[in-house]
Amino acid sequence: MSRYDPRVTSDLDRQIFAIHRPSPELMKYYVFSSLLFGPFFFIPLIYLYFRYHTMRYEFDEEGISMRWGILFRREITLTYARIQDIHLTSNILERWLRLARIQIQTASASAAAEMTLEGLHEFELVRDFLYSKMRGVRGPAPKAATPEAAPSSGSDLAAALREVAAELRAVREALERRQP
Amino acid sequence: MSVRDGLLRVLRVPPTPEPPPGSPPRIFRAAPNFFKLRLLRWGMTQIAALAGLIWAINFIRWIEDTRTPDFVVWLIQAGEVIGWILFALEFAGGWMLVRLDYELRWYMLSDRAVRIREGITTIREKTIALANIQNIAVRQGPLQRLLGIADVEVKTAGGGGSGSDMEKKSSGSEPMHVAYFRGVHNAEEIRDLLREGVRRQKDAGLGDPDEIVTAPDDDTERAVAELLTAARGLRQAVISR
Repeated sequence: MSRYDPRVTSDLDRQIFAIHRPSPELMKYYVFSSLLFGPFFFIPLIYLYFRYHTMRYEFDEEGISMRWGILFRREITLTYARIQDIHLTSNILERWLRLARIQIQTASASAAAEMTLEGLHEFELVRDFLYSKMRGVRGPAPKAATPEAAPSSGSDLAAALREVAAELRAVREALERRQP
Repeated sequence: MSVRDGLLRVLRVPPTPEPPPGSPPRIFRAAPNFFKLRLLRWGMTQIAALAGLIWAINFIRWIEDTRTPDFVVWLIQAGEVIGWILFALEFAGGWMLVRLDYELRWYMLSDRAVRIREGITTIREKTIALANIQNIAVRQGPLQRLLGIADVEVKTAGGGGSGSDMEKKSSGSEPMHVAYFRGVHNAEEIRDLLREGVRRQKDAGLGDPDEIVTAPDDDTERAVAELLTAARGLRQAVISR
């Protein structure tokens, strides 16, 4: 069951669903940050190079998935309804490149973020999008879905209750008939 | 002020954060005494750094003697100058960062969410939906108590509060499921507002799907009444026997 009717997809949704790849600025950021390792800069750089080139984002009606890796592949999928905190973090270098990390967390026991979306210039848009979808920030639950489900189950319940009542009446009649 | 603007431009510090979802937020700021406390900490660090520098210089002067080659003496003198320059830069830069860190903090509270922005070199913006808050605590150390300020701590579900060093590093030295209103003078008021806000939220904050609450319809109610009459009749029939 999808609470988010695809027919009512807003412009914001469409804009977000179109995101699949991080910005090329992320590769620049990776290059600069691996230079911090001095003469061993190529060790993180190789990893980050493949990470950048294999990183894919997928936003859909239900959740986000993110995958990367070439030897050790990793794929993370989160449902919007389970998202609990969203933090934006940026250091100076990232701000110069107009980037920020979006750290998304669920109520799991890990100290680190479950998913970190990197290399998106539209981080504020993504944050607002996630907030509009996640639990607790959305307005009162859409009432449209409930009335359709309720009557059928309600009348089923009524029918079952009537059946029980009829059984009780039958028991009583049987008792009374046996009475002298 | 122009130095400040220049610094902000170089550091690319974004202006006021956007308000969190929900009603127009109330904005709280760190109290002036929070700045004093940070300044005290900065002063202590400076004294320690200065003591270290002076000790190092004196130690080197003490071990060098007339046999020391000229170029080594020259190197030592250059090192001393560089040390003093670095110290001066660190002194001024540290003070400015403490000042900016105090000025550029926002604690926003709307009827739906809390948004906290802090940091200068690394900027962290945390938004926590009130529905997801699990507990609220007020913390106050002895110095904070003397200065009349306190930290309000807001936690959401999930672990990692006192994770290992590695975990802390990966999350940017801050536990991820906690946010602080640091150095506020009205901690009690904020705590009460938060509790009030949390109480108004209807769910447990564990990301449960929306509960479908349906009032029983008329037909069901009539059927239940019918069942009750039948059960009463049966009891009477049993008793009268």
